[in-house]
Order: sequence, then C-alpha cells, then structure tokens
Amino acid sequence: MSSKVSRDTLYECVNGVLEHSKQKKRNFLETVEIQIGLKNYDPQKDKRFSGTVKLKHIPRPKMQVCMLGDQQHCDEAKANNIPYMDVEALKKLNKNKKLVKKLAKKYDAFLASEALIKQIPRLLGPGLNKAGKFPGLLSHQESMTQKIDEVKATIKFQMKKVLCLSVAVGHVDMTADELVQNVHLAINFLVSLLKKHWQNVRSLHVKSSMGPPQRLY
Amino acid sequence: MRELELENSEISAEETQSTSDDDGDTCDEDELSKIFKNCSPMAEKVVAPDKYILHIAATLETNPNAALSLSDNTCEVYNLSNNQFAKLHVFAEHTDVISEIRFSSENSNLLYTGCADGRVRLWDLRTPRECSVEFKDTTVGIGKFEEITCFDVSPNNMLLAAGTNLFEGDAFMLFWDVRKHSLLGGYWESHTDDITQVKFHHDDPNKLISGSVDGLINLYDLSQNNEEDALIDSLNTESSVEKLRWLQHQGKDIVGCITHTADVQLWRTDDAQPYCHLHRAEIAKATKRKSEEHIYVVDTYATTNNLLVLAGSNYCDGESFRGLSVAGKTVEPTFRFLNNKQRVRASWFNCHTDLLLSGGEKGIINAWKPS
Repeated sequence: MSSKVSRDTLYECVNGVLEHSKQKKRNFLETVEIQIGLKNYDPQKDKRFSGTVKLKHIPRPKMQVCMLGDQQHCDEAKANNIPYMDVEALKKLNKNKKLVKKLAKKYDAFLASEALIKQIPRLLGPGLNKAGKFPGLLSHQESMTQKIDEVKATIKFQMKKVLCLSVAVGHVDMTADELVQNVHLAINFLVSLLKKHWQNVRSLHVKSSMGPPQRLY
Repeated sequence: MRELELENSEISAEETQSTSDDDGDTCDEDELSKIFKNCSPMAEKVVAPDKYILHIAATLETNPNAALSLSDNTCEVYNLSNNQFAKLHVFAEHTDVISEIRFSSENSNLLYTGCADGRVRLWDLRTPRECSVEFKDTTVGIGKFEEITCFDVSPNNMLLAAGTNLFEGDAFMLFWDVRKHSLLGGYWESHTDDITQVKFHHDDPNKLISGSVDGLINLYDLSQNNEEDALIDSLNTESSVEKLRWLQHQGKDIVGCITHTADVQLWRTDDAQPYCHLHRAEIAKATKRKSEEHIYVVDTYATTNNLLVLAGSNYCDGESFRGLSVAGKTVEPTFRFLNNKQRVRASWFNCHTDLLLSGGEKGIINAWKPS
C-alpha cells in the first residue's frame, strides 16, 4: 500500500518530537505516540478497530516479562537472567486471589511453556485473565530471548467510541531512524485495517508524552 | 499478532506521488474459472439501500425464514421461497445497535435479538406486535445497563448467555433461565475487556466459549458452581477476537476464530496454539487477490467435508467475495460468488440444505447454493 506520508515528513515530525524533548528534559522517559483521527467511520456500524501489531524496534524496553516454564525453559531463563516460575511455584499460590493479583502486578507480561499454559486456569484461576496478562506461548522451537523481544515489540491498539486512537510506538531515547520505522510500520498497518484506507483518516499526529503534537497527515 | 518487516529503503520519497491503491485478481478470468467453482446468486433483494445488514439468522426449513438486523437498529424477517425474499415482519423497538440475532432451535417461530440497550428480546412471529419476553440484568440499578454485544442459547434451550462491553470496569457474561426468564448470575473475572462473542457447544449445554477484544478465547464448564472453577481453558490469540464458531470437522470439535486484524485461527481446544493460522497475506494469496491490505474475513463454517472460510476484498464496493477450503493446514480456493455487489458483513450457512445467505453494506441480501 502506498503511504500518504512521505519520508521527509516522517523525519521532520520525528525530529521535531525529539528536539522538543531535548530542550525540556523530563525526569522520566517520555513515550512517543501516534494519534490517528478517523472520518467516514461509524462505530455503530463499522467493524471494531482493535488488535495488535509487532513493531521493528522495542517501544517499551523496561517491560518485565516472566517465564512460567517447564524444567528446560526454567533452566534457560535462569541462564539468561530472566525471571521465571515453575509449576511448583505456581501451585504454591494455591489459586489465592491476592497472591495471583500480586504476581500479575509484578510483571508486565508472561510467557508459558506448552505444558504449563494449559494448566494456568486450574492453577491460578482467572487472575491473570482479569489482569489482561494471560501468557503467550513459548514453544521449544522458539528462542526465549527472541520471543521476549517480540512480546516487548508488540503493541495493542483499540478504538473505543470516539473517533480517535492513540498508541505508543516508542520513546525519546530511540534514534530518529528507529522511530521513523516504527511510526511508518504502525500507521501503514492501522490504515490497512480501515476499509477505505486513507479516505478514513482525518488526521495523523506524532507526539511525545509532554511535547506538542506534530502533524503527519 | 501480525508481523511486518520493513526495510529502510521501502520508505521512499516516490510514495507520496502514488495516489491509488489498486487491487485486482492475480490471474485472468479463464484461470479464475478453472480454480474456483463459480456461484451465482439464486436470490437477491435490496432490503435497505442506504443501510447495512449487520447480522443474519435463518430457520432450518427448505423455505426458511431469514431475520436481518440493519444499521438503523431494526430487525426484519423475510421468507425465502421460489427464489424470492418476501417480507413478513419488522421489529423496530430496539433503541440501540442490535448486536446479535438467532432463532430458537426448538421453535422456528421464536426469534431472539440482543441489543446494546441492555436487553435480549424474544419475539414470537405468531404474535409479532410486541416482544414476548425481555431478558435484562435486574441487579445493576435503575437506569443502568450493560451494553449487550453478543448472546447465545444453550442446545437444550434452557440457558441464555450474553456478553457485554466493559461496564464500570468489568466485562460481564450474564446468564438467564430461558423458561423462568430470570437472571441466574454472571461472570466478570475471566476477561479484561469488551466481550465480543459467546457460543455454546452444539451438543453439550455445559460447554461455552467466549471471546474478547483482550485476545482470549475462554472455555467454560458451566456445571461448576463458580467462575473460578468453571474456567477450564484460555486460548490466547494474541490479537482481538471478532467472531467465534464451534466447527465440527472429522468428528472433532474445532474453534474457528476471526480476529479484528483479519486473520483466521483454527484451534483444537486441547492445544496450546492454533493448528492453523491464516494470516491476511495467505488469505489474499488463496483468494487470488493482489492486495492483502484490502482483505477482510466474513466467517468460518463446517461443510460436509471441509472447513469453509469466507473472505472478501474491501476494494471498490467490495465486489470480490470468495470461499476457501481448509483441510489441515492447507488452504484451497473454492468458491467465487459472482455478481456480489457489496462488502459482506453478515452471513448464515446451512450445510444440510447447502444454503448460504449473505448481507452487507449496500443493504442487499443474497442467497447462494455453493455446492
């Protein structure tokens, strides 16, 4: 699909975001988000606009992923200094709501081995579901570190009843190249999900948490 | 989860010059006719030219009644016989979006409609003037209600289950006793976001799946006393669930899932991942379309031998509407629905009478006989 946003505009806006954040340093790492406004779209009758997309560069590097592993995965996690729990540790939570909630709060996301993932509702009850952190699967054919990076690089987007959507695609310590690639990938994927593509896009901005929005489209 | 690869060089200055995003077939007419079985509509009716048909349900008779929900929040019932759709009733009482419709499996005069105004209504086509029963949550307080997004009735017609959007922070599944019209209770721990689908197993009234924008398909055993024990499995689509269906294939239960990012996932409930995951690009390839960015998926069905995936292209008015057969992990182009005029938003299929109904964004209802 052709993009309605040129490479020059992308760089101009991303550099604008980065410059502004350098001029006024905040005492936290500002995220960079895109904001998309829609037109000719009726949430009452058009399809929901929600899903996930995997970006090229990790937008949330500080995300903590915990491995709920079988023996082999636990050993691998240990060797790679990745937080992990085995089935015995999960059994100790004893479906206790408070303990499961605490576990869900401690990490941003979970991965689980095949043997464990099917036992999670029975071992933990719906606690991880309720927290929106039910694990993804790590099979033995996949690399653990690579899969964790995938989890960190995957963003969720969802439009509620208003005609605009904001989604974080990076942070201000990323290079302009990295940000441009993430922004480009995210907007093209999001636009492809709209039935009339760019004809459904009213506006497109990129901004950092505290900075002013830069207009892409 | 969609994976997109991007090389820096792909972002070129020339892209600004390009204005149209064309789509088309990947082969010529001759080849299309060889690859696909051509299927012409056996009946067509413009029901509401400026409205969308959003849901279809039909009865199982040879000359079935078909109910359609429209984007103006009405529900119309037609009879299909001699290749003609004849209007029988209009139900206009709904005050918000109709989120799902279905006929009772034991009495084809009974039609359920679920609505974002917080009610599932039961209509009797013999006394169509007024709604015969209203199912609602009687515990939330006056003037409050959960927006119902989906519902289903158990195969023994005893239990009605509905899913809701987030309401005061929780997404609910509500259960009613169909005979007594009374609310039995609800679940609100197993999803974290709007529920989009609830589907009873076709034989087992205790087996229920739910799907949500949170990406999970949950499997419940309703014979258990509480939600904690009833939740027996969660299948993580790592996307957002648009549509679910129980499919019977070679004597096995399969869950067909369509995501909001236009992927199809086929799951066996015992597995930890889908045994078949059709990404948008594969669906484009199998439907012989050039552009995956225009692909949307309508539904999944079980036919006598195969699993059928219905998919279309959003390009132009969405004329391209096709069917794929899935056996194991392999996908074959199967049907080409000729003279389709619209983006298809709703469908209904009866594999015994080989009747497929489709409706969409030009308010047209079509009947097809695929095989």
